[in-house]
Amino acid sequence: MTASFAALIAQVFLWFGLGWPLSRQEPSPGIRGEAFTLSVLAGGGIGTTAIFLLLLAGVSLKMSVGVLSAAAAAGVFLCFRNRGAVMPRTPSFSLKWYEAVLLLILAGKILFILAVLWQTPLYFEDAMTHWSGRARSLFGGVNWSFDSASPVFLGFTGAKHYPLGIPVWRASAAVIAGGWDDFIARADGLVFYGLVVATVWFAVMRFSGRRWLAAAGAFVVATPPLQAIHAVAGYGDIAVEAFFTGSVAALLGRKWLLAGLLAAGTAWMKNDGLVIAVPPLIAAAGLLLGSGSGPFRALGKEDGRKMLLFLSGLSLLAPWLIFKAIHGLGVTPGGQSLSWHPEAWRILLDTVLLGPTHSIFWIFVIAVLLTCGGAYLRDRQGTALLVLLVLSVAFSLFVFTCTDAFLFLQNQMTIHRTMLQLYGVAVIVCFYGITLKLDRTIPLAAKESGTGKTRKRGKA
Amino acid sequence: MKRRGLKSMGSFLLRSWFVLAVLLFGAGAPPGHAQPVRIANDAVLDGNVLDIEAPLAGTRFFVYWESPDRIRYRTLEITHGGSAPYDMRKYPVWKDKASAVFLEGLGEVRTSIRKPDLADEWGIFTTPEPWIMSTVNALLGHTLFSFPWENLLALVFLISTAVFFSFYRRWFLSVTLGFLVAWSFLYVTTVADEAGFLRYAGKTRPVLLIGKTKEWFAGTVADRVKGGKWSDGQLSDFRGYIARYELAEVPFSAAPEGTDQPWRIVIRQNRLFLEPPAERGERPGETR
Repeated sequence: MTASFAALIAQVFLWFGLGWPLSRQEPSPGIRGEAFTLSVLAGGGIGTTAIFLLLLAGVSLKMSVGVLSAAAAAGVFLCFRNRGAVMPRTPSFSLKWYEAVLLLILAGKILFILAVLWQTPLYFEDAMTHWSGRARSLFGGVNWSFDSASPVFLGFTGAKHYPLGIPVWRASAAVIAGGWDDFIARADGLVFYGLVVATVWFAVMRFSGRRWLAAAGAFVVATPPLQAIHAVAGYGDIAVEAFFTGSVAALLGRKWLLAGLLAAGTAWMKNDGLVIAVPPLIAAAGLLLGSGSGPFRALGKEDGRKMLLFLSGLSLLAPWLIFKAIHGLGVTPGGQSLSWHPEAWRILLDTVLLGPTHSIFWIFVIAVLLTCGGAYLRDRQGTALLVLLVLSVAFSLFVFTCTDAFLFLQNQMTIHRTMLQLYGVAVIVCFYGITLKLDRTIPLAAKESGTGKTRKRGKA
Repeated sequence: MKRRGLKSMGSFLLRSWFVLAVLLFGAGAPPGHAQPVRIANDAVLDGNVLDIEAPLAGTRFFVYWESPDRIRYRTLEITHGGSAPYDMRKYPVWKDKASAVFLEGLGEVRTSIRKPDLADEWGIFTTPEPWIMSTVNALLGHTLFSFPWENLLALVFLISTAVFFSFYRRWFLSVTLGFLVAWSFLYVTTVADEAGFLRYAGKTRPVLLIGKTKEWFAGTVADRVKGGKWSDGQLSDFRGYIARYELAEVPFSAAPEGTDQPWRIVIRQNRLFLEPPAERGERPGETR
């Protein structure tokens, strides 16, 4: 287990090494520590895609991980040498009492996650089949083939239409660890959990400049009951949440290429991203273009470049989509036809809005959107975020109310995991609206910056 | 002659198809397969809870009851382990009287239908979320004095929002602060659930069953099959996917017949067996 834990840490730095050179291509003002979280996500997306391509080319898994490790080291070295790079660091400041409480809460969560990973076996069905089952087959090599005529095409367990982001992620971790165990099978959940919480904190700190609000946002996203369960479950939903949250944070930081990369990552981790994340992110990116007060106003050549960068990042998904098309792999377990289920709304009300799994989380989201609605519409970024969240939720609910997937709402097998994928984004959007109202209605004497220094700011 | 006979018998057993058998809790009797056990006649249901002494947590069972006008109701429950009250008051149909109450899936256990006291209410509220196969999909939640905990949190949210509004006169700020107050209460119960996971996860029936099954495949089967191939044509339930997970690094054979002679994992009378590859003919010098 110790070797597995060390491999987990090493892999995080491997992904960071791959993602940081890219992240530095689009410098933007803000909190420098944010670059670490977005770099790890970007590196994870790039790294797993690169390994997939190398495997397709016949390179062994071990060699592929070795090649990427060398590439990561080279990338970091070049960054330091060419531009005198400084490692992204969190700003130094004295801890406020609420931040100390937050850190205690997070420490408790992380200890719980580690204890479960250490003490219990891999347990849930989908984790043993679609995610870690396929990852272990890939790692072992003997029950894996990329030849569609082989009985072990894309493994001999799990759904073949599921993307390979997670299996490649875990198989490469097993290579680093020197073997497979149930810790490796699930430990990336801890990484994704940490990335979601950190990304939300940085994002809220960036746009609000208020440490208490950032701490509140991090607290809210860290503590839904299902969040810690999915950090140890070995499923792919928390990975989609991490990439989706990261993409939104990148858009807010005007890192177009990174935002596109992370958008691709949502669908590379799980097919759900194709529906609930990618289209809303494209819409949000479009709404952020232009320099006028409203969307699509005063569009210029620079906006074309930005959208091109975003779409270039999104093209990270192309290899997998091409592979799927060649081999006729769909995105659903079977044929999904449209069918209207009026009874679905009652189930959604009882289980999602008023049920024990999400508790009052979505009631809070609705309450914030209602109380801050006007503020969103008066702000271009707010409009983009509002449209993003509404589209994501709408697309998710459409699938469960208007297709055969209604069954998975009825038996509650999938609906809550899908809503979990939206937690991070929902918190960012809600706290953005709260920030707009705070800036507008409460006179601001001083605003704390990420460095702890205060600066005077007049009434908004 | 006798010694040669014994040696032949031993050799025969070793070379026979029948090698290993492992009892895996009899795979457990899934709910619905065991006969319902009547636990009460003419029972008053209003305001009463169901007290059950069940040895292992995480076991699924059904509660049936029949109203005086012969309408049958059924709910699916999960055992808490040990002697514990089960809050049936959360079901609107658990009311008035029942001509009979049954349990299915637990066999003969000590039960009673009674009025809960304060200790029972606290016990019901603090029973940790069970670690079962559906936990990754949806949570069962808590009840306090028969009210769903999330409903009470919504009330706390509303009241806190109103209190903050009286001070700040700003809805968005009041909603935010009110939510943080209510969410903090949820955080406390979540921490209690997580502590419960750590304390009881290894002792719930599903975890024990899965764990034992994984151990058998990862240990016994993997050791025996080493260097060979395996197949699992008959495994379609949870043992099938556990087998494919634990033996993912051992060559799998999709064609168990013919020249490809794998070890075969089969189920007979709900028990797992590992059958060795078929004999490839007598070796010189040995006799049957």
